[in-house]
Amino acid sequence: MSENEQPLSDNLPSGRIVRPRQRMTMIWIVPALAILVGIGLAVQAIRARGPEISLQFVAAEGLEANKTRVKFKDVEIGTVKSIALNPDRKSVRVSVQMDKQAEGLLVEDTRFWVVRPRVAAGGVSGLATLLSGAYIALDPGKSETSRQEFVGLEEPPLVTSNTPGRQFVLRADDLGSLDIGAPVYFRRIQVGRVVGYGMQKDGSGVSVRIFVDAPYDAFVTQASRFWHASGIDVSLNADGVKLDMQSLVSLALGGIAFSSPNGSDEEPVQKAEADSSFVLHSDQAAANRIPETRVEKYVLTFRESLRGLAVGAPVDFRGLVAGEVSRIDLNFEKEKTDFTMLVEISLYPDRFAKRTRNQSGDEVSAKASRDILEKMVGKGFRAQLRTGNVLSGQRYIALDFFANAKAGKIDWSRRRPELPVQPGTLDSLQDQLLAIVESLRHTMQHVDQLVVRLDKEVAPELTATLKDARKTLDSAERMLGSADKALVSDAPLQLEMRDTLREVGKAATAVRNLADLLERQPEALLSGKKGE
Amino acid sequence: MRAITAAEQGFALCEVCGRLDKMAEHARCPRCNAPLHRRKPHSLERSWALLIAAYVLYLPANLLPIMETRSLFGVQRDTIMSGVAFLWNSGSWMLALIVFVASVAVPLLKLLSLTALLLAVQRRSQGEPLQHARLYRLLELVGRWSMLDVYVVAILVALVQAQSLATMAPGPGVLAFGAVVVLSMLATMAFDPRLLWDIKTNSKSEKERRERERTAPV
Repeated sequence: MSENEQPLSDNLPSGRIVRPRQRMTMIWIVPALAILVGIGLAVQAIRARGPEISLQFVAAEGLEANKTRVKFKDVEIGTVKSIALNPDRKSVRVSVQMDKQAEGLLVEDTRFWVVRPRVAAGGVSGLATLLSGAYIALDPGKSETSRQEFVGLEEPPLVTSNTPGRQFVLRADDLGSLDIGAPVYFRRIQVGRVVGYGMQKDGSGVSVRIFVDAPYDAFVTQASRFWHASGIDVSLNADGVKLDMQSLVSLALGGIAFSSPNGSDEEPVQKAEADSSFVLHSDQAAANRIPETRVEKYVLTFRESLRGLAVGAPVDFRGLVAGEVSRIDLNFEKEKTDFTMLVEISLYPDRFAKRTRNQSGDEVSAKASRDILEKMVGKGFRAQLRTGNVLSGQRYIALDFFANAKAGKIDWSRRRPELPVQPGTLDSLQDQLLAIVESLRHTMQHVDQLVVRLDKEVAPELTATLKDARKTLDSAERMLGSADKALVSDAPLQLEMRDTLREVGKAATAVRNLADLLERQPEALLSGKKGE
Repeated sequence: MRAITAAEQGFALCEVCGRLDKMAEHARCPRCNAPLHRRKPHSLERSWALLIAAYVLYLPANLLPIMETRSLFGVQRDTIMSGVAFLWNSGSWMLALIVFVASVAVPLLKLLSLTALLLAVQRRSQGEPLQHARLYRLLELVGRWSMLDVYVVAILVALVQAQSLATMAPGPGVLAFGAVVVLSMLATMAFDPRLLWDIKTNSKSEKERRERERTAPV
């Protein structure tokens, strides 16, 4: 640089010479680092991106693009990217950008639904979303085939696939007040709920699908009995008024209860398989009734009124229910021009036979049981109509031995064998009472006649006697009056006369009393004076 | 008419203490021992490097969330643009505009104008050096304001720590954004505005200047 030197700078000191350093390229580390970081971030973002899926919902209530998340077990695994109407305008299409980790969850039977606050009779759910806004939840399926398009559920599923428990199917005549979500109770503890119902194909009934949570599903055995536990169960029967009620929830929502009878030692109950089918009974009593394998029908002929007897009324043998009334009919007897009441009863002979079998060890044949029944009838085995409940007038059929029964026989010739009957206790009582009343009336007539005769025959004579007596007394008085004049007051005769007269007066009073008494109680002449 | 420049005369100004010294290779200021340069060393190269780094980081700065708000209402991650959009949608247009200008437009304009300056110097464009100089001054003036966002996030994160009710945490975007701002400031600093004038003054003695530049400690 010496050639550039100017005189102006001659006196300035020149800078010291320092060895050059090679660090000019160092600065390029900065953009290199920045690019590395940028690429790293981009790769990370791309790798974390999972598939984009589309969901269909009826409405996009509560959903917001870029804001609504998809959560599984409260972990965010995706974000709603866009919400658009489907071309048919019947539903909305929600595009969701899923995370990489959610890839395995997107299989064919995965279900999606929107979690938003819901208030239903069965309870309140999704309250947290009141503040945070709705989100989409999913229940991963078990399938292997992956999928990108789903149709979302409108209601959250009651049972998610990872809920431990089992499903069972109940067959019922009607749905009752059941609804999806209705509770299932075991010993009054809620152990499950109704997850679905449908009409049977032939329309003969409904099938109700229930889910019982683990570990309670182990209590569902092959011998389990299910019944409607909906609301209040008021039953009025021969046992009186009975009120049964499950929880308040079931009152509003309906419900199902079940019980699992213990098996005997030789026949232990087996645990029910998943999806096995049961009968849903209308009430607990119906459910707990032992299913009758053998039913024998008999006819009873009554001449009394059957008021208070209904189909389904129990047939009772010394307090045990041995059957039930299955039909009530009227029979016109032409030759007598009279009506008789026909009652058909269903007897469950197993209830008796079980005991006989247990004693003898083998099954009782039909012939043998006939013989036994015949012998029993010979000993006075009769059916009788009895009043079970005085208040309600419910009646039932009682079977029992009557020692004083009229001789009877079973008529086996008819289609339905006829059991002899014994007139009802109340009926015979009524008859007796009538007889008593009749005889009483008879007696009363006699008494009446007697009184009339007394009135006619005795009374006039008495009146005459009394008149005579008065006449006598009058004359006596007159006589005394004249004697009074003749006699001094203290003469002994007069004194005696006075005493006599007093006696006579007393006698007259007595007679008057008698007359009065007779007038009031004419029968006193016959039966004597009644106690005062 | 042509002015005499110090560089032509072989002088250099100490960048630290302002002393004018005779220029020599690898010279140091005799007063403060700071290295003497005729022009800032590797000015263009440094500027370019820092500028490219700033450009690269500008993307994550705008794409990544700068703030994570956890509250009862859930987690919300906001990028700069989503914040602007929120402000705009909620009716605070002025505020949205301010945030947009300070956080999106200004950094980008800064990067772009610096690019323009660098290109002008490199291409020795015979445009308007006066305008370029104005642009450079504006660049320096505006640079310090673009950290507004970072300050806001820092203050909010420190203030809003109501545990379960609401907490705020800085997102990765804030780092990138801060880096963009710092890098662009450094790039502006590395740029020597005198290079702008060199184009004009040296256009006549191009050959001579080139030769000088070759010999001078670049």
